[in-house]
Amino acid sequence: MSTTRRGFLTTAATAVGGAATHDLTHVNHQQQDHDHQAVPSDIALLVKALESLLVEKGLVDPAGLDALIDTYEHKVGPRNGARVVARAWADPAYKQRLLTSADAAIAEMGYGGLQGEHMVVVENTPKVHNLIVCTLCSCYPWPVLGLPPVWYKSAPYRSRTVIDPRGVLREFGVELGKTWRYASGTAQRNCAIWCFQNGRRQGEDERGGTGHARHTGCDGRRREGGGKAGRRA
Amino acid sequence: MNGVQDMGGMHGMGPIQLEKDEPVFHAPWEARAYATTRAMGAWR
Repeated sequence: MSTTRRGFLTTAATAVGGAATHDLTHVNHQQQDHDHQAVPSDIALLVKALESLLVEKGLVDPAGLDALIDTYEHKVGPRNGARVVARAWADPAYKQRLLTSADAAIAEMGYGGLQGEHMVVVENTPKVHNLIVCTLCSCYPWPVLGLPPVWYKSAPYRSRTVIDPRGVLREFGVELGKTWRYASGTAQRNCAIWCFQNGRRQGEDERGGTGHARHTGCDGRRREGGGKAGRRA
Repeated sequence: MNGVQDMGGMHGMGPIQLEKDEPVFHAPWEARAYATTRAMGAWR
């Protein structure tokens, strides 16, 4: 069906271009080549049609959609997590609250909402590196870290993190020594976990330009040797 | 959980494809689709 629709639009656009050419015979051929309008992709047409329908029914406001997009492009993202982590570096009491009651501590910074209701924060130490994965549906704490990157939702990351965590980390440029272990917790938990590095690096300030807070999972899996992982890293 | 939707430990998925400087949305329609979904969520 979509092929038919696309074919119809292509034909229509070509016909319009042809009609215009008849009326503008004095226009040279090179310019005519630029008169054709590209037909949007099927998915773009589908989304536009859906939005138009919902607007027509009074269910969504285009200006509201613009505001949502602006929020996720410019106001929500890893920068929020970085600010939380940076405060934890500088404020031991806050760090304790963050590790024991993440939702409330993060709300102190003004972040919370959908997909951020059940967060847990874990700490990387010199001996333990937390690698967070959601092997199911790749949920993510949107209010704190923004929308997840594509790799986090991808099949390779979700599958291999469980059986080859060191290999996965290596692909991200993180090489763990043999004395490191990775943390565990195989229970399905409807929550988001994110981890942070203990201690700031040179040049990082409390406003946080770094954001070691990075990975979350809706099933909150943390690994330590056994379990489904089946081996020590 | 033991089902096809749990991808943990599966083989054959290949390397992780990292995208440098990944944008929040890869195309305008992605942004519109996401915003529309979120906005409609308010009606649930």
